[in-house]
Amino acid sequence: MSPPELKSGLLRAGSEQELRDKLFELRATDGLPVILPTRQRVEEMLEAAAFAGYDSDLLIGELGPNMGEATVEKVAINAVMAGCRPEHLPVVIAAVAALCDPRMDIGVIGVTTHPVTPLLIVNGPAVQEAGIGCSFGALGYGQQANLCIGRAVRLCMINLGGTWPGHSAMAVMGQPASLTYCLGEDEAASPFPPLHTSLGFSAGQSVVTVTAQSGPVSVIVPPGIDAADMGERILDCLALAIANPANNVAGVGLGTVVVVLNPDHANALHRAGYDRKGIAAELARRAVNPLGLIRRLRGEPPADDPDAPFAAIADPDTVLVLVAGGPGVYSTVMTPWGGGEHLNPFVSREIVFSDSCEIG
Amino acid sequence: MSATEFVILDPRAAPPIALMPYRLKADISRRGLRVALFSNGFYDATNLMKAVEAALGPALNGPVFSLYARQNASVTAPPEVIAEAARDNDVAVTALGHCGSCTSSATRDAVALASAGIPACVLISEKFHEMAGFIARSVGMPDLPRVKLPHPVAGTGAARIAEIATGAAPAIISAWEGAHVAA
Repeated sequence: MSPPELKSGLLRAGSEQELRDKLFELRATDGLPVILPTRQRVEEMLEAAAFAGYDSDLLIGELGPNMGEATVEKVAINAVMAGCRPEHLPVVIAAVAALCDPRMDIGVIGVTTHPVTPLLIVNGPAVQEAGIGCSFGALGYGQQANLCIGRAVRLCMINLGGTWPGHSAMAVMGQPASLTYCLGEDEAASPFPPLHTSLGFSAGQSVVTVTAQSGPVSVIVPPGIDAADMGERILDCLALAIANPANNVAGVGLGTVVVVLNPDHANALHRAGYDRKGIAAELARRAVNPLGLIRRLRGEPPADDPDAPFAAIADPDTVLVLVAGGPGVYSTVMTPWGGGEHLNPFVSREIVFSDSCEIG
Repeated sequence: MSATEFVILDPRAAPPIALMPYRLKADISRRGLRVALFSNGFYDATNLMKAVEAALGPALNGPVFSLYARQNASVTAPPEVIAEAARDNDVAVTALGHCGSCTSSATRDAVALASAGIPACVLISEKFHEMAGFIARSVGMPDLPRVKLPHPVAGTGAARIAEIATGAAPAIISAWEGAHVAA
């Protein structure tokens, strides 16, 4: 098979270091050293795309706010820069497709002063096929696939979406997760059906679910002296973390809330009789503040009934509950910005590794 | 290619849209100039627009002001509101660019109004002025007039907001007159 005709322009320099410097001067990197996207490396990456049925000139979408065209070729170039292996590319392509979905409002997500940044949650066989970490330290170092895939998506946001701190991306502080924010669900350790099956996909499908989120907040719930009430304590602690009055979501009740249960907490909730839907409903019921407090903290006019509950989660269907991380006493909560026309939703896309058909 | 040359593929992609030149001008001396004031609902945006109205009034000849205010600064004005405002007004000013999403929406509103045919400008805090230029470029109208305000505007109180509006009024008028438009 002859290599595809590539359409991207070329950047030239006298040394590899000069090229890395040039990429930074062009605001075409995330600030960390990159793997240089030589023609050979990009062509190798595009072989993985071709195997999945993606031609190099296929337009995945336009990535806001700059609306640069996310072709498979451009995504592959950025994946090479991020250090991705070819088996990571289908996940990156699916994630970029999700970001290009108008419901993501990525043009606004990318520029808000809030530190919100896309989180990628991978389910299905892709977790194994791409080697995505989903247990101890899933969001930390040492997770090659998670780090490179998430980084590739950020590089696409920079190079296709045009984001750059203080120029077009106005996050007041930003957050480390804006460099890379990707994990898999530990389906084997979960007492619940996989997350993506709750979203209409089959267990055999590989899916990436993308939602823009704040950084991860650790929530401690130890076994305590009476394990019988652990399920209730887990729900109360998670609800308090979500309803922290300083969170955006506490004041608007809108946007996707992500709850990452460690396997021990997931099993405790399962033993207590909760399924994924029940957990989301309980969190919506418990994550409330007095309206008067919210109004006062946000400098708004006093409420007629200051003791009336104001829900941080208006709709339980906006809560994503998944299982990941090692076992222990800590689970994790992420909360949204809550703005934009579509109110900070989540979007799922199937990950396609191969378009080959078995011939019997 | 020399033996020491290293070559890579460019990871960037430009937006595929065509650039629209901004060439709009208004005769602001005409009597009864109809002025659309767009507030995106950011903190104090509507107060600023009311102050702008007060500041512009004496400088214009019997102007008629219409306020188009909404509550969510992170979204743009609906197309039907843009169409109505462009139909019923001679010039427009949008605000407030004072954060990321609100700068985006105020700039996009002004581009939409200008695209609909009426001279428009956007009021932007100096901290977000560069970003507004990026947004204007990304939607194809890099020359959209941007009026730079001091930062902060929101939360500074009525007297300071009036002072800021008074200071911005000449630049707003200048933008409507097409001062930066090539002859």
